[in-house]
Amino acid sequence: MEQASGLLSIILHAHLPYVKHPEREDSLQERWLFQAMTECYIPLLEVFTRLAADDVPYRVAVSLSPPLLEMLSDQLLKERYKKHLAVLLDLAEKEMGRTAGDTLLWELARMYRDRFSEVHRLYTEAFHEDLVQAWGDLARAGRVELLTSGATHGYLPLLLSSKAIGAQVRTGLSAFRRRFGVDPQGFWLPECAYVPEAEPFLKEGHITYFVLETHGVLLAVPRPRFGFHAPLVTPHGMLAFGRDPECSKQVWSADEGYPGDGDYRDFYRDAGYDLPVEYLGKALPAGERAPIGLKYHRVTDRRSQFKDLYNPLAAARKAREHAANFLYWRSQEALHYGSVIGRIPIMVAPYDAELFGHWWYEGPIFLDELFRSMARQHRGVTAITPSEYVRYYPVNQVAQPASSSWGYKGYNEVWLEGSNDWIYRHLHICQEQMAEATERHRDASGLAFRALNQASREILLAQASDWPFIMKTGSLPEYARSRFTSHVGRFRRLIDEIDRGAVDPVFLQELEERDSIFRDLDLAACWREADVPAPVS
Amino acid sequence: MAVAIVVVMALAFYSRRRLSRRAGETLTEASAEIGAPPEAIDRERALLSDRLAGVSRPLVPPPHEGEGSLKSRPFRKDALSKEVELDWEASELIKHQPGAHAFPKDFRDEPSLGEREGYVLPTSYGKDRLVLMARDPRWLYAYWEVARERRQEMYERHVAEWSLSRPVLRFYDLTESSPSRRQFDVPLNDDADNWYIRVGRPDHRFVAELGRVFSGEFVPLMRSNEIAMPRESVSLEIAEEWAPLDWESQYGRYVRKRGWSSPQRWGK
Repeated sequence: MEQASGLLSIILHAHLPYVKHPEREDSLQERWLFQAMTECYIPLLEVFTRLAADDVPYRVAVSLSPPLLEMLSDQLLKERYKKHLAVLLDLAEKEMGRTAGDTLLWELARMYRDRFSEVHRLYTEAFHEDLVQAWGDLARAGRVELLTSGATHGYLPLLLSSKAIGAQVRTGLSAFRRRFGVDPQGFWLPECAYVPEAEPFLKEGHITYFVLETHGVLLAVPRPRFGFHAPLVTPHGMLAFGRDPECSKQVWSADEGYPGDGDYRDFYRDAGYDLPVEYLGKALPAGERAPIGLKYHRVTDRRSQFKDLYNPLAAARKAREHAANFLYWRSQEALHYGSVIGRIPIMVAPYDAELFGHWWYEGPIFLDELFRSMARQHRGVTAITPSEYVRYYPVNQVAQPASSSWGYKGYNEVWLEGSNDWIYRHLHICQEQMAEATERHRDASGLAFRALNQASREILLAQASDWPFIMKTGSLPEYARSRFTSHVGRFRRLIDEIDRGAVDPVFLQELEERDSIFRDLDLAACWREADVPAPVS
Repeated sequence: MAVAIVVVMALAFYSRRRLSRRAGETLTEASAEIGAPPEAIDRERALLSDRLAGVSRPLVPPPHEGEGSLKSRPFRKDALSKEVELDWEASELIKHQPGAHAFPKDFRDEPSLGEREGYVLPTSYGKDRLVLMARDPRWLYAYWEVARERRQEMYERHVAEWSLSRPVLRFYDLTESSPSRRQFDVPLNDDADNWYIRVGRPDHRFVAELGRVFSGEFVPLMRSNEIAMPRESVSLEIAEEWAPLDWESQYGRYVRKRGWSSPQRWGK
């Protein structure tokens, strides 16, 4: 502990919107989940399990969003994932036949065949088809610290009402407790979006810390003595950590970030676009062209369309170099700021978990190497989780963090602009109706009780920050619009049926199977006003 | 020919009940006739068919000819909320024209519940509300809805001056100490129901009222929620025991550089 010159807290936030579509096989959206499992969640678990087996004293915080917890535990999706893997494996075998004779390509085809069969083995044997409990095991072993997030990753500042914020926080925490049996220490604010109104609910849920975008801490009142190199104590007594911009830039930045290196696997060039549709067959979702995860090329030159073939050995070597480079800059940052602020600086480095493995294929190797180097006490940087910070410095500055987010421009504009602002006039009034309905039907039982819970599921699903985000970024905006509209429409129909005392059991049951998130949780209770915690004076 | 096929399908679809169209019947009414929910009617196809038949969409004249800002602005009837539509219809402000054909949607390729349910979100919830949301430290977004009765009431009270008035958002700055800056007006269009406003005052609290200005006098219709704009600059407040050291040179540049968002997401 004494010899550390800097503390590094890596936080991986894993989240996908709830995309279960029982009504059809082969939906593109379920593929998002399956690809994330194959390319990110399983490889990351593999890395962290292996580090633990090698007795590397690593520490990492991992945030698993409630929709992800629910999907990874869903029986139907588990079955479909195994089928999906089998299809991929078939295709990789076929590719070995197609590329036979071409030494370079054939090696890559074999690499994928081996990889997919290894992923299959890991999923079924090592992790017993339960990735949630695999993370739980690492947490219980004291390696990984698990966090969770808002129920459906709702963008808290734009929900406006305290009851809606409360429903997101409370439901998210219940979903976590149900899977792991304990409260999480930390809460991942969706999109790092902070508003003071969320604090009473986090406090109520025994949360001890959360993470903000850099300026959420830098603009705090009073001015933070240690910048983003130490947490602040919020008005409710939780720790607010600020994201370290240098850590972000080195990894995220489109121009300077590691993932753009020419040796790394190219994300965009994918066999799903290159090979004939008939040949790809079931590997494509519903026969539509989409990335399938067989990628044979490397970035080569980001500005050029010409792509050289991928060389896994060179890529792995580069990932290790980048890990060493990252650690070097962290030690420089720690030395510099340590002398300026007079305490060991903490560098908080939160990333979307999906960066590692999906967007940046070699990301898991980078993490593996990073933690191994730190364990060797290389360069005096120690890995910790945010909750361990108080062991170093139990007394911290009290300040009010600033409203902020990690979205483009740092505030709410990504989720509130021309393409998506229309959703809020529906969302806000439905939230209000939900809160009123839970009061009005406090004693609901049987069918009405189920309908009330389902209505809550629908409105929570409508709140997901993913829909306005997708509407804005132009990727499948019609899917996002249709999801939002369906959830609001279903909500309105359910509330209407409850009020009229005429719940349609067939409709209700169909919804319970489709939008089956948070099954068995009493969701209606989360909205009740009487339960809103009193503000701290 | 295609129309004939579709009509046959419509009949087969809805228990062979006859789709009879009378003059002045809307799509919605026609669909109710055959027992189909309005959202089951393919609006696009119906509109196209209207166009091909040379029938224009119903036009909504202003409440009274020659009166102010509503004049000569063509309304598409389907841009109106159902309540407003019914209201205006009752007072014979809307003249329906024949030719609105009802087409059932083709569900064959749309197995998902969401599409089959075909939800259409209401344009009005029949409730007075004005909501402010902060977009960033300098801009906010407002949306509103005026219930029919309220609007009508106001209209009747101010019939004479209506044409010269216009809707206005009046903002009250709850943080500002200078009286001249405590309040300001944002003029709106008559048909707007949402607006982005550059208030340019980070870290201030605002509340607003929606109303109309008649002969220089502001008549409020309703009041908004209170909103706090985010901060944009570093605090000048210093806690004595936590006095910053060499702060500007160490952290200043990070204040100006912000928004390293996650650059990419699923489903690019």
